Amino acid sequence: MRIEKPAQAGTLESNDIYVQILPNPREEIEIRLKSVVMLQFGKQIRQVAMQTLNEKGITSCILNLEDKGALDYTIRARIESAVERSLC
Amino acid sequence: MTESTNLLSDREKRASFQRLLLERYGHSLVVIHANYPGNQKHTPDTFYVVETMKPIIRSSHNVLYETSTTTSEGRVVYLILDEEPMSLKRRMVDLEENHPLGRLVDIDVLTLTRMYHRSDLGKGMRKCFLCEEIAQVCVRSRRHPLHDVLAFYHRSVLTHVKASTSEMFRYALLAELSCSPKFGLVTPFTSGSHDDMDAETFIASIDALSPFIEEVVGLKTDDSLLFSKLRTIGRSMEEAMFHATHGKNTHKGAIFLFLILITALRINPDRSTLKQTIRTLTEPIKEDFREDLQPTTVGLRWHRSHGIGGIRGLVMDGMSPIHDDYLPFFRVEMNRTNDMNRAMVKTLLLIMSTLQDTTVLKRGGLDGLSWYRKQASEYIDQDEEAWKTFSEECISRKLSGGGSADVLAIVIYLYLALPKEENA
Repeated sequence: MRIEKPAQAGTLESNDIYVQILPNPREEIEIRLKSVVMLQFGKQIRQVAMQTLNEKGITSCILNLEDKGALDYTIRARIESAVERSLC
Repeated sequence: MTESTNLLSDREKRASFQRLLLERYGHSLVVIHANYPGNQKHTPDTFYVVETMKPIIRSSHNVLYETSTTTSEGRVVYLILDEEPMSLKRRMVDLEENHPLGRLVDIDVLTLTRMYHRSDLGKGMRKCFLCEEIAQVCVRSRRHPLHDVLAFYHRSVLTHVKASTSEMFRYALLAELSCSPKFGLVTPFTSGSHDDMDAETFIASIDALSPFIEEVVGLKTDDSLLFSKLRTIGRSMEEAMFHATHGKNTHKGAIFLFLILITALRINPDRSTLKQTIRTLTEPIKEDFREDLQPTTVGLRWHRSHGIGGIRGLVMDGMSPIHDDYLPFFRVEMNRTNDMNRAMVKTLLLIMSTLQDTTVLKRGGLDGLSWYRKQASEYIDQDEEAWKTFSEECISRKLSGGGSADVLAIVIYLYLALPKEENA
């Protein structure tokens, strides 16, 4: 499934993550990540993000993530609601 | 909704509310909220901490608009200030770093275009409560058990509170106010059975009353006029309360109980003789019950007509049920679950079920009181859902145990004031 409509979720508060989901002209998922804990957890955050998009059946989108130290379940929930907001 | 989705959606709502405030009022927005782990951030501790930082910021800045909310994020205070955001952020970081409770709050500074960060001041990220690591790294990796972090928070609050009588007084009253659900009484989430006041009314009252505690602890305990001096301070406090609340009686009973308890503990802090100390101190109250005087209060009228002692009866008896029943019960509940809100609600139900609360009598008469007491005793061991049902019933009957709430605040104060080992 392609993302056709931009949507967002989350906040820039500590321990939260701000998620923007945008259409991608190419048939692929592109994740752009900024994180306050990039060094320690950058790889893990990308993994969680990719897994969440896969579970939602998304095949094409640009995902902007601005992470302020969110836990995995927060990242997951924020991406899920961005996807849902984009699809509705 | 689960607790975590609640928190996430409350946080998003706050972000859009902040935007709304800035669009409407411009200038700089300061947001004070608890720096507290977990999905349920509304606790007596966080409520106290945020409400303690608020007047400090308010008193040293020009506030154009102010509002607050209480959600799963806990207490959140919003202040619109006419001040340049960078210097404001510097002062807020200074508070976060140097006030004894500063570590326990986040004080955000925002404008319409951006949020200001410690890094704008060339400062590093905030450290973890328990180690030297950056806080977010410890949170992200769950390095410390949640329970340890919560214990640190509680300890930090109590260390600050116990250092002064007036902070103990504030903590006890704010904790009582924070407690929910509350059977017709005012909480941060509802006005209960009262259409003329809400949590803000109570906070204004607490802020107005606290400065008088200095005067109370300044009285000489061997003064033969001690009790009449207490009465004078009590009257000034009532005036200050009515002024701050625009004529609402938020804490009249609490003022009376606290002045007596605080003074009794100063006369003789020995717990084993506290009841007797209170009885001796309050001897002059007997005068109020003289048959040849016209009863001047609700409590005194009920005493005259039905022999109900009310709050005066409670202190003339040395506050016996507080020492013998309510405080030990509260301690057992605290030790068992460490959930202070739950311990407070259960203790309140115990108080409601046994106290002859003249505030209930005033609205509901003898039938109302007997219903209130019977229901309270049946709900003690039930869960939060059942408590909410009972609260709705109380609201539909317009009943509210104001006297019981005052006594609960006293229980919390004694919990802080009396060392643990004496309560085994």
